Amino acid sequence: MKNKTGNSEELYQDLVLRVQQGDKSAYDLLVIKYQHKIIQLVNRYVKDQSEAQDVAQETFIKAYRALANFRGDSAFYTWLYRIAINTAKNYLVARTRRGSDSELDIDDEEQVHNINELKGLDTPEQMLLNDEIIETIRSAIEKLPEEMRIAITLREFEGMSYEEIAEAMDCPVGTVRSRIFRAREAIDSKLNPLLG
Amino acid sequence: MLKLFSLILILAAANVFADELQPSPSQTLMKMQQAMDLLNYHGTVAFLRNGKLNTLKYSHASIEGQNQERLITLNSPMHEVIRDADKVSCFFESTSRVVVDHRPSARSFLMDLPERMDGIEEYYDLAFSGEEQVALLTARVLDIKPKDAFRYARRIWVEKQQFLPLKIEVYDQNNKTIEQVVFTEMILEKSLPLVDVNASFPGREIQHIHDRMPMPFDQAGFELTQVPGGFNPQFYIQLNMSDADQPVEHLLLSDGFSSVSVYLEQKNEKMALGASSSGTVNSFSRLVDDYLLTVMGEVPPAAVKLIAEGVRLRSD
Amino acid sequence: MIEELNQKISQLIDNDLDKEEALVLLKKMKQDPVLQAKLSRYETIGHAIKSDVFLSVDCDFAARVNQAIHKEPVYLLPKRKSVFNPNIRLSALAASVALLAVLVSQGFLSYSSSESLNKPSLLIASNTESEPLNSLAQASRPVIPSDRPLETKAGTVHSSVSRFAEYLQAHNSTRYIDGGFERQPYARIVSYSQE
Repeated sequence: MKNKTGNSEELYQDLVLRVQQGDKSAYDLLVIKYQHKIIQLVNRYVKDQSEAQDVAQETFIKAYRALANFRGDSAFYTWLYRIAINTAKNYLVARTRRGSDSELDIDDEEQVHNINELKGLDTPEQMLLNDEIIETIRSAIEKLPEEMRIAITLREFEGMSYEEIAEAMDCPVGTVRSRIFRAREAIDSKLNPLLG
Repeated sequence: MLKLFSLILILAAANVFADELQPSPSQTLMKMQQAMDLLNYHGTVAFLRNGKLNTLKYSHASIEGQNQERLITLNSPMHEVIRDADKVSCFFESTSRVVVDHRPSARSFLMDLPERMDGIEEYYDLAFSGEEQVALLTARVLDIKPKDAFRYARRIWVEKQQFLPLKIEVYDQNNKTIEQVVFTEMILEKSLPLVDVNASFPGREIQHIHDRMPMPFDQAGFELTQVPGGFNPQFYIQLNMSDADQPVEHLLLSDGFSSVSVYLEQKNEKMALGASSSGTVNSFSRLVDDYLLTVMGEVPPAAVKLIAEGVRLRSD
Repeated sequence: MIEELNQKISQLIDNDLDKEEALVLLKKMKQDPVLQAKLSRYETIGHAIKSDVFLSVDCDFAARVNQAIHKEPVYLLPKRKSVFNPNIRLSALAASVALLAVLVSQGFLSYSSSESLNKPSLLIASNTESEPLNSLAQASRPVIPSDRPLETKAGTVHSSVSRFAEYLQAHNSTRYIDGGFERQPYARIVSYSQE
């Protein structure tokens, strides 16, 4: 995994270099790769899911503009992550100026996260949909064969690498790879119909 | 001969092309806003306002989406002001005192700019009027002319390559310069560090001020029934002022370039009613029931009068 | 074939593809919304497992960013030459030499990018001796110009240390540049903190 992670990182650094050399299409690939992570991150700060996407969009645009100053001291994602946090905080400050959420401490992630849990799901329809989807995912996970359930949980919940999971489960990395893929596919087969 | 002719044609086309590739006035304004946000630069700026000249050292740092401006006075009383997104900090050299005001602050010390450029041309005409040198740098001169009598004209000298503003002038309705900001030198850097105000003063007393936190607009005790187009509320706060038993309400409006303040408080016998001015600021005061209303801003007298006459107390 | 692609998408999320495979897959995904939707659902599943929150991402998010980026200028490497070339910089500095002379004579450390700028510059300079200055912090009330005439249309002149001046300070305090530091925005703030 270490080599492959290194190779993946090399790809993203290469893409950054290509953008800096004038290849905008390379940036499209970076967006595809990181859009979900950035939206998920921003959503922890911002109340509304659609506003989170607006802020995430602004993050990518800011990052593109600032790419000339990116010197590769850190991984691209780490740098992008920091831009996302600062953009989300600036958004919250601007929203505070308009007098909403004035009690919110933007540096208190815990507070922001909890409020997001409470407020991110405004309408009854959204709450119902969220509950249904979460229940569907939970139920699909419970129905997975044990080894697939363990593999996907260790990967998504614990953030372990394939190698670490292979060691924990005492099986080859290839088996871990396959179990995680099949777990995702099984859950997706239940989720996809709901999303229409 | 044919080669020469072809070459002439190509050069002529390139010339035309080059002109066409220059950004338009509104694009230039947008690029300037981006440059002000993203670039790291510093220099010496002279501010001329209300007939007084102030020269300060200025810097702007931008790292990973975080911006910070710093101003250092060159004359007494010496102090340094640092603007972050959510606070303004001031360090007084003589007393080593530090004040951190957690407040809604403007985006830039240099000038107010609209958050979004779309819609600006409804109220202003944007046009270039030539090129000039400022601080030995070439700038395109961008005129921003109001389409009505409720705002003042501006001219910005925008540096041609990096799109930073080198000089800004504001004119009243008689075309007299009422405000000027001009860089006497400007230096672009690859990066500039951000100052962490909290970490910079170990052992020193830091005063944090939180009494200017903005409140929802609908908590204002008044509403505006007539406002020049493009002026939108920016923030609403309640202030403590001397000799006032109750807080004074303060609503700030802006059209992106000019700001107007609306104040409402219990009737105050000291205030003169009607129109008045102080330097570049015009104001209009009137009584609304038992309240004193004052509207003031760097806008023509007609604007503050219009807004003031349209203020109504909320009935709820 | 589709299953193979889906497996690769699963590996992409976990950074388990090598460089070439990841590049090929990303390019395919850029052209194929079905593959992007698959990625989106896998990511949604992962996020739901972690946080119990269903977070949907618009299927055209990447396309919207793409459109916005394509309006931006293209980068050109090597890094753009600073138009503020040293010769021009020096000439511009020469134009401010009178100012610098004043700074030097006051013993004030020059603001320079070669200095450590991580602290406020005045803090760095505060060890130098300077003329006694009026202490802003000692002001117990707003320090505003006294007896400044206030003209009205009616021709009446009122003296200031007045509400108007306080309004003006509150209005101007969003800029901090106001010429004439007799109107010290922070004097008012400091006085409030002392109350």
